[in-house]
Amino acid sequence: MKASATASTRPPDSVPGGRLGDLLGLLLTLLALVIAWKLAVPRPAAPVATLPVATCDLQRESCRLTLDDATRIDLHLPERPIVPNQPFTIEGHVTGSTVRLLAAEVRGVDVDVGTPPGTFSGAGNDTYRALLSLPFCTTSRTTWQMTILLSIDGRDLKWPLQFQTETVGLHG
Amino acid sequence: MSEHALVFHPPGSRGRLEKIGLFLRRHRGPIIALQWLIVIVYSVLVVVPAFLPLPPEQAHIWNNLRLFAQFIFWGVWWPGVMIATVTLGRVWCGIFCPEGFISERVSAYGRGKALPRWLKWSGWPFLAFVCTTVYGQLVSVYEYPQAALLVLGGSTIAAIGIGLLYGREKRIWCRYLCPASGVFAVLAKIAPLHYKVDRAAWDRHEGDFEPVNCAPLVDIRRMTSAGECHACGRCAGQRDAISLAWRSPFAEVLDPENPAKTADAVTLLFGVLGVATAAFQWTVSPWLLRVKLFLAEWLVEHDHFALLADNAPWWLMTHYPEASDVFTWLDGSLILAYLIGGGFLLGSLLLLGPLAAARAVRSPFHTWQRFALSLSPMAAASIILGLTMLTVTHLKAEGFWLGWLPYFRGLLLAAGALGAATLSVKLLARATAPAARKAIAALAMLWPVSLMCLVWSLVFFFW
Repeated sequence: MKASATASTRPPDSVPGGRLGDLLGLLLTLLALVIAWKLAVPRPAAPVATLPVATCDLQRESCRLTLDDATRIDLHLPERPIVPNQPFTIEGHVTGSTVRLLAAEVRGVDVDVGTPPGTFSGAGNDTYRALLSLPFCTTSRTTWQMTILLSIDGRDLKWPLQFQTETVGLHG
Repeated sequence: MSEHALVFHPPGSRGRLEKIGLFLRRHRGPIIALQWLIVIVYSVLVVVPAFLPLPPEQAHIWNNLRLFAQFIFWGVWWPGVMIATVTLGRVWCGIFCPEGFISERVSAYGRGKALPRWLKWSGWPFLAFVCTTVYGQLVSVYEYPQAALLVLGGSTIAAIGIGLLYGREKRIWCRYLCPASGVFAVLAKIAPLHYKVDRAAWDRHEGDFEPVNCAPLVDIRRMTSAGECHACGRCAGQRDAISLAWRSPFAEVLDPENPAKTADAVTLLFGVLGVATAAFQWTVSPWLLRVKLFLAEWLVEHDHFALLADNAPWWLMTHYPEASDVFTWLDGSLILAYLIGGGFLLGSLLLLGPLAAARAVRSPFHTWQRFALSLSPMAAASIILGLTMLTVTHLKAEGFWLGWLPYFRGLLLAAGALGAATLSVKLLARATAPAARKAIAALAMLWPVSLMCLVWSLVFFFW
């Protein structure tokens, strides 16, 4: 008889491959993790600079952002005023070929409500449009901040604008 | 004149199944390579998705790693492991489980300490299962990869730690501490495949034999249960006494040589059928919703807002504002109460059946533990039904046609109920008690079966 039925202690080499196999397995696992990480995990995006809040009131007028002599953005609402719980369109016209409007989102300033970002689509002649809708709000007067995400020479920038909505008759 | 035919098998002839067992023993190299491959896939799927952003709305399981990992882990792997255990025994543990494999491999280089007494406590698997189940629900382990990394990764790190401390090329973690081992042990009891030990052949064997390293420390010579065997095949053919073989799924529970352990019975009643069932159904329970609304209103009316705060960290309770999925302290407390309170209440109600049956029959073999184990088919159906709910959620989201689902669920539930009832009846057929007492015991055992059918019918067909 060679040995007892169950061996209590056995050297690592008793497993096929032994120590070398374990080392290879460990290295392959780490390699797979690194490759999967590199391929799948997105690199952290560069922080997006935010401009000061515009002083104009979108509910009453067009707003202009002048970046330099040749580059500016004019933003306006084709149909005013914006009313909560109703879709509205925001239209932007850019001057300067390197500027693109990407998206717009609206959040309440005093109340923690908001909308998912609306993507701008090109409407020709350097004009962009995005369709948004404000959520229903329980307060009669609400201040909102719309943030326009734009790209200049491949660099993203945020342009905040504020406006107010008033809901008459709904709140007694 | 009647003729009695005797068939002699030559000593070397082996069945196909037996050859599979021997193949597993003789080809350890490819199996270990496969286990490393699983470790690699497991590591990538458990680690990388935790660092990915939320999937966009139009993402699918085939083009988003986060959704793919979620589907593979909870939609395929977890129910698949349970189905494999019920049908093939604990092959997952013995051949495929990355955690057990890593624990065993690192133990070859660890301190190899002797096992302390506290570690051998038979209640650990049950306690670990309940804690993991409850914690998993609180952190939404099925939905968020960060939580999956915490629960699965934490378990793997614990397995590595135990491997580094105790045993030498052994699976101490799997044997004593793995949260799933109690459930696997219960489900494997009704597996039609097992490694059969021929004690007489073992004892009469003479001549040389290679030693066998049973990683989960099973006393192979005296092994009577597939519940403790990891079905790795390493001992197949040992002393010409161990072979992979078919058996009746009821054989182990009906075997008087096989003790019906309290730990197994408690895991089955309170773990698999109790807490796990509560964990599967709390999300669809209108009772929980009603209680929550009532309590929330009461708290607001009485200006108690602390429980309505949602400031718990994600590793304690679900907190993903970017996905609009945040638990308040009230949510967490109610889930905890539903799972622990509801699970143990359900387990206690189920226990009444085996207790009454054992009391009616009054025999040393017909213990309440053995009657409880006769509910194993119901437990298997229950856990597969619950885990496939996640598969269904994924398939629904991908637009698969699931018109067959109510029939599949109904059939599985019926099979579980029928299996448990048959096993109870077979158990009673071996009793010597008067027929009236047997009838009372049979009725008592109908109670837990009917209760589980009612619970699952509520989930699938009424709520």
